[in-house]
Amino acid sequence: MAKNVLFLIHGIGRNGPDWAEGPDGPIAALQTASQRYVFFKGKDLRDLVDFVPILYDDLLAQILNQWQDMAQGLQGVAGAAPEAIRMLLDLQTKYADDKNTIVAFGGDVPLYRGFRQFAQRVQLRVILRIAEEVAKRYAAAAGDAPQFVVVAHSLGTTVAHDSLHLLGSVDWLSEEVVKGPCGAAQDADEYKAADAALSLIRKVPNPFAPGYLAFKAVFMLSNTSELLQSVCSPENSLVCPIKREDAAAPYCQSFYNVDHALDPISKVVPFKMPGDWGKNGKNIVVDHLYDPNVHAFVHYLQNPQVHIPLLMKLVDDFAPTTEEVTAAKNFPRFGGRLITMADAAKTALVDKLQAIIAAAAAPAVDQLRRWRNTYEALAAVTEGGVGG
Amino acid sequence: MKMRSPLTASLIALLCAAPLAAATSDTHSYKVCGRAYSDQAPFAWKNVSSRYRPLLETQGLTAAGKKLLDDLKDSPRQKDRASLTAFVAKATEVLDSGKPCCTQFTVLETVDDTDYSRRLSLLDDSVSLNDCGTDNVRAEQLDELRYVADDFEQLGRIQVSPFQALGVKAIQEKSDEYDRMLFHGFPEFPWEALVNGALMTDKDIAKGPPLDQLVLFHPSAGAEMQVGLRESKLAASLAVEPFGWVHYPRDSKHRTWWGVSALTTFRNDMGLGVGAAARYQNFMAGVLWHDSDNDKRLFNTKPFVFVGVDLYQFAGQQLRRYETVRDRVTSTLKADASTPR
Repeated sequence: MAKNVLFLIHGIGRNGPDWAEGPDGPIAALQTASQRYVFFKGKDLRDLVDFVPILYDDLLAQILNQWQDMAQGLQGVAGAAPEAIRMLLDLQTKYADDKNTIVAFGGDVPLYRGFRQFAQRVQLRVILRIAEEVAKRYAAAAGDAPQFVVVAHSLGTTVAHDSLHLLGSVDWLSEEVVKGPCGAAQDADEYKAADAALSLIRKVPNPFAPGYLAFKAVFMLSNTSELLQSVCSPENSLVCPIKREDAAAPYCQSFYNVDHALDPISKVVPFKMPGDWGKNGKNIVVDHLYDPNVHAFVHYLQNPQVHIPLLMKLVDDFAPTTEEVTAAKNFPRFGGRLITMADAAKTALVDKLQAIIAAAAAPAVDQLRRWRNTYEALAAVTEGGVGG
Repeated sequence: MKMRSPLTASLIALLCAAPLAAATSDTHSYKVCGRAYSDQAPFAWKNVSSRYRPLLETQGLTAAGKKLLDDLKDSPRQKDRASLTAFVAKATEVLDSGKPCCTQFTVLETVDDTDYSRRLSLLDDSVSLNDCGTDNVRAEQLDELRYVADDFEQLGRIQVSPFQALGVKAIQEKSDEYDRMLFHGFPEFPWEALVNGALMTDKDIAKGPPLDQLVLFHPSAGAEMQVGLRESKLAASLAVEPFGWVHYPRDSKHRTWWGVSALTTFRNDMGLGVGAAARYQNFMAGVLWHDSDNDKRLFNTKPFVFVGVDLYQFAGQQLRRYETVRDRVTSTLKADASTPR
């Protein structure tokens, strides 16, 4: 069979074109995790799985660059402008000047949530990338074809949710229905062929709809889609492990909502799995501490409760041995960078994170402001960006 | 003669396309009752494609699927009638529904949260692939159902594949249009992008970016000159369009745009100017009036003509043109220098 495909969708922070591939990236983290299991010992995961990282950060960075250039271009003549216009241009320059900091510290969230044009451009990037890979593999398949898994992190969970829902629900080919066939008599054969083609298109307005396409599993790490989703609510979304009323089949076989007990970002508006999602809608809560940045993508992947089901979805005949299951259950709570930390320091870190969580959930403060405050507080604990 | 649309032409070509390339196989498929996927199995796609694919192409999915089910019913390996009946009933329901097909046949995998044991089933759990029986007596039957389910999936993939190729093209076109609008079109300031985005809906994504945009307090640079006065000079000014409209003609695919706006201008040497302007691409021209004679009346003096440019896009285009010429000159000079004389 062809290899199963894993789409990776990043979250907030500075993400370059190789965001997933580097030694500190999620593919390396998964590779390291896989070596705990006899099945994968000495094997390169890339020989078993096709990884498809999807980047969208560059679009938002380009917008900030553009705004900066636009405002700076007017500085020479802005002196004569009314105060309000000068202030707006000053703010625009300052905002775009800080773009690296802004992007590293979560500024892409208001860009995505507040500006529908930018959100749609990002969604089209993700949708196109997934559609290309699906179409390519469907065309090449000859029995026992690959299946598709998605793992998304932080803002990426919202982007993934929105993009997958739109991929499955929008009639991408319906515009072609209005285009008529050739009309001249001498093209009668072409007319018939074009008309037949058009009538087929009318029957298949969306070739990525449920029934034509399904995702084997969707993993949402630090799920922000309840807070940030722009397209539809989880109760109505196609991105779920059940069959929606108008759909031919479920769009996802399994849905994993993965949360860290001390990750404040996901606590601003926690994702609540609808009750009717059944046995294939799974909540996983982890509490390991291997880095102060408990929100990080790779930190989530280090925990066996996360990487075992993910590896099982990616490689159809992998299953952990009884001993490996026992080892997973006994996964030490503290490790990694914290292994040499004194107990008092560990307790202090936990206390700080819990305090941030308490503030994150405070109902009196507007949701986006709460998110912003939480992000800054966590960045102070991790002494830098919170993404990754 | 009307031109066939490129996408329709592509569809016709794809439907007549050559047979699909074979995929390579390895050993990491599901094991059903301990048996991995094998190309040698009687119902493996490689061995049955010549029987069902022509039916798919001439009579459609339902006909090909029903023939597949008939052949399954005749298989000597389908000993347990209950499993076979459940499979056939559910498969027939899917085929008769007329709905998109055939991920309904994908092997369903449920992983236990505690011991990570894997449970496999088909067709809404109607057939369990774990129920292998004492001494694996049902292994052969269940394994065969796995292949038949896979064959259904393959038929579905073949049927939808040409449309997916078109879908990718359509999505790519929308993405390209969005890039043209956002990065090479009318340059929206953040507040304009905010308001224009609020006027869109999420389902609009299939149509691509909007064809119309509001202009709101849009600043740009320009110069103006009073008409009809011999001593009149061109003077720089900042234009602010308090409101206006930009339109992208549908056929231009967001390559061109035009618009009209109310116009105000601000200069260091004169009070506010008020008028109207039209724009085409990065360029704007307008007419306005200043109270140039300081009599507190605006429209009793000769008007000013304003010309302006959205510097960001214009400058970007000029820079790109310059860089192309520069690179050509540089490579020509290098080639000349290395040519033996």
